[in-house]
Amino acid sequence: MVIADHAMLVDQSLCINCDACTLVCKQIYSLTEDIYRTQIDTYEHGAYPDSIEVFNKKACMHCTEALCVISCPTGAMHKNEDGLTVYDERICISCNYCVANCPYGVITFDRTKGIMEKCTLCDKRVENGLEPFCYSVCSPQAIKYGSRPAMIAAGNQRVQLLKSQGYEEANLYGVDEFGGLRVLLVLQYTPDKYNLPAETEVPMGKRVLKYLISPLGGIAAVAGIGALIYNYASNKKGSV
Amino acid sequence: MTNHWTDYQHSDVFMNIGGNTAENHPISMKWIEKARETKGAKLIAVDPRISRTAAVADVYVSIRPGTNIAYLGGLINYIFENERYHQEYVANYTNASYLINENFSFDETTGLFNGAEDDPVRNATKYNTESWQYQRDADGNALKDPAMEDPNCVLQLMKNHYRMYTIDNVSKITGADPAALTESYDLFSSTGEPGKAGNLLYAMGITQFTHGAQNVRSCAIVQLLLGNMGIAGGGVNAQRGQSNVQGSTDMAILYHILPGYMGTPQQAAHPTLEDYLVKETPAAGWWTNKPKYLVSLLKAFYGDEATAANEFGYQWMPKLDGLDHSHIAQYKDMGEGKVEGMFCWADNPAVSGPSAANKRNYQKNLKWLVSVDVFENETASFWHGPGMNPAEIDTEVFILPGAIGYEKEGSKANSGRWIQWGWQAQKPPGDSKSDLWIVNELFKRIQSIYSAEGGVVPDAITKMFWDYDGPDGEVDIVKVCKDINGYRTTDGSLVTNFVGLQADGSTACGNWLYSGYYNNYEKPATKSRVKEKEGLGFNLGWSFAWPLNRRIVYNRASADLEGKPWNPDAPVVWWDEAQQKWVGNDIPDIPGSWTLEQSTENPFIMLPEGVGRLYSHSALKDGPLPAHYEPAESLVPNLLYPQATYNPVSQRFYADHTVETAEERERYPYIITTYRIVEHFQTGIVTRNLPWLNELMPELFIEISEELADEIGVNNGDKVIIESKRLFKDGDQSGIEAKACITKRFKPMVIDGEARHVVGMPWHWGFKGMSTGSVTNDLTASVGDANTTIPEYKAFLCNVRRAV
Repeated sequence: MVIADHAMLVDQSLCINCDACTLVCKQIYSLTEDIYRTQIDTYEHGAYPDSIEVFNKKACMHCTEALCVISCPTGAMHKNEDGLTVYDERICISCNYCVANCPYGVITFDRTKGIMEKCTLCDKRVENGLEPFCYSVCSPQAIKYGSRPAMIAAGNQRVQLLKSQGYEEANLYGVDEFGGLRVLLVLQYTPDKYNLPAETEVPMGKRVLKYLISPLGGIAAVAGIGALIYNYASNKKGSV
Repeated sequence: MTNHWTDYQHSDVFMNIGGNTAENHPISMKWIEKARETKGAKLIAVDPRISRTAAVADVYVSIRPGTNIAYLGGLINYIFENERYHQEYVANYTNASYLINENFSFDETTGLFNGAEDDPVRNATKYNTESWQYQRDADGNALKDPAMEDPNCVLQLMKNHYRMYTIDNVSKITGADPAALTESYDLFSSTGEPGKAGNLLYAMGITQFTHGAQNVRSCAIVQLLLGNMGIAGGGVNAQRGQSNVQGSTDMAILYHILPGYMGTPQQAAHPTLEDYLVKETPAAGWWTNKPKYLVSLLKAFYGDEATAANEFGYQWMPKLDGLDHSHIAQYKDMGEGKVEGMFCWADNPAVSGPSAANKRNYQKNLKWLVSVDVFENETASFWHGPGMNPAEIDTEVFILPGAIGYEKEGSKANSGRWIQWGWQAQKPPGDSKSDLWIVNELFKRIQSIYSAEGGVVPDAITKMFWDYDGPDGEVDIVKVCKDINGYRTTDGSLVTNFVGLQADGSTACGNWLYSGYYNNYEKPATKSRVKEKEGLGFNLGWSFAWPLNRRIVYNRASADLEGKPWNPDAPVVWWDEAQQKWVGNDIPDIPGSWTLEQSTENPFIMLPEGVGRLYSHSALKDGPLPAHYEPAESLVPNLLYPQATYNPVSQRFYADHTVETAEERERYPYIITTYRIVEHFQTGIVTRNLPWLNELMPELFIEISEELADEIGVNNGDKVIIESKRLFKDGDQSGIEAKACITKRFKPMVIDGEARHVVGMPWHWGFKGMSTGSVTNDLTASVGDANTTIPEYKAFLCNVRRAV
């Protein structure tokens, strides 16, 4: 069954950092050493024995207003029909603007392959009616998957439960951030404790930039090809 | 486990003590979270470190490594003081009302029970348990005080024994915050209310101590007092760390037991089969069937050669000489040149054993060493470990390539005792072979050599029944399954289960507990995969659980005296008036022929007294009730029993091996504990050869609190040297190296008014494989539990300094 408007709900309160998601992703997508499409970060706060440790399974959030898309000069990083942020390596010039602009730090440039790596939300798998791999392997079932309204409802329910358990700061992250995210997070504490960005809107300056560069797409493409050649040459050098 | 993984969904409160279930048993969290979501269950984590389980727990209690008895003793005292115990359960299903010999006593100055004697052989204390027994009438019936008021009844003795375990004392010993202690005690003891379920789950952080067995006893006492044994969502749940470690224990990988938990015969006490059967078979309880199981085992061992006339081959079976032959003792013998060769099968003691550097030194005394593993491990390659000079080592090493789980077929028993068949996913690469193939070929050759040339005790080898070849000449696993399940020797037909076993030689059975798991060739239960659609998660059609497919043992205790479930929302079994028998969602753990009255008097069918033992008069060597002892290496005196230090019954294998003087305590001023991490498995032989896992967890580290880091001038990521007394003594190294991980997960603990630093290290590394690192166990001491000799990996002393 293919779900329209599909989204992922990652319940960080259930995550136990077992790395099953990290590994299945590395394996399936044959990722290079030290390159990840999803990874779990750990943050410690407070003082022992009341110190807390939180886990953040981080991966592309598929922002509706995606800074990587806005900043990409060639359209390599773009939105597909489903609204997912997807990447076309054929027209990427490896300028790394997407890496620099991503508010979540989840796009990585793989120097050995010369491409950007980021979570696709397993789009090809989803097109075939299957679920993302990380969802399938999550042992504490911290990852849920379905239509976005259903995920928002499920997330809100978990937040209510967490609040009733005494987590006063519990919240659902991603409903409105960057125009709405396709990956929603259930958090026990405020987003800053998970190192999530304080700024959750596209800055005006960057919007303007996009309007400016759009008509210049042709020029950018030409520049892009030049950069591609340069990049290819420099990569070759780098690989010696 | 008395219960099983999917049963966790029924718990109201979880106490994870001496384990880190979120990191080391990740799938458990699926069921813990289900209980939290559907029932509002609470999770308590008790650990020196804010482990991943502690990170997601509702209540976290920080205790110093090695003080579990103090912590659990405090809980027991809290249960008594606040009358939280399950009154009806305790009065009827435990030995609380039994009267103990009036001479029984415990000296609160020396920390010794009465009956203490010197044991010169073991260089320790031993107990004469005569005066620990029940008072009995002339007919031998145990005397009881149903009102439980007699000062010699178990309940009163326990109240007195545990009265010293106050919040204040426990806090001083463990370093735990008194408020956290009270909160956790209050929460867990709330499950003493009938119908509530408390789940006590643990792992190696309970067992790996010189008082490990008494730690487990403490867990059992707590669960009996709260009426948590036998019920859904309750139990004492030992979470196993390896897919088939339960199976290997069932099959008697340990030297002191035979398959199915029967004691190994001792030459002195059991020279004949009759001696063994008479002395080892109790007068009441399920173990009255022991002769059937032992004779059937002998028939499985020796086949047609075993007859009533030759004691079913009993004389061919190896017997113990009364000495310790556990892991530590074996290596000690090796160090003394008493061991010529070693067969090391899927084991890597050069990384996993205590004082591993010494162990690698002892291996130099071996003439030959065979290692069966999937990669070359540190035990096989000890000769080029740190400080070794290969030119001086004459040991001949053979490496047989084994196959990993997915490359072979066979059953694996999980923590919940489910014996599940695993099919071969792919063939092992190259010349690698399954363990079964290797052992079959090996023993056929040994047998033919002994048949041709004889030997010291040739009959023990030549009379062994060994016919496991299939028609194609390859080993046939189904023949092994037939042996284990049991069959009639008359016609070779499979027995239905262990009820069909006999003591007259008409049946053979390799492990009575497994009987029934493969009782037909077409659809054996172990291969069955019927998933429960609705129900309580017992999944009776999914594989086979020992014994007799019972998923919760002692489940008769889940119902009241009339046979009605304490918790009607999760009924396990109940008495059906109409049918006059026990029925339920699980297989009743009661003989089918019993009346309600019989089952009410004997809910714990394995024991002669038929009730759970709050007080265990002879099962353990180091006392009928757990008492707080310090670990073998400790910075502080025993705050409860001033003249006691560590477990007096625990054997001292080596002189000058552990920290004992004040001067030494200054030299090794930090408490250290060891543990495992999710990215690597055991000694890392498989995982350290997987690039992805090495990428996630590339090297050995030591976790250090911010305070200690400041004190010794270490920054995150700096290299540090860790020293313990073992390395200085006879190793060539001065310490081991690891990277410092500065963390908020540890904090100095205030023990009796003084701050003490605690550090922790994983131990998965060695000098072979793709990711190499120091062997953490070079630091640990070769001291072990008084009953099991499991080494004390979890609490010892060390020094940490910057690597210059």
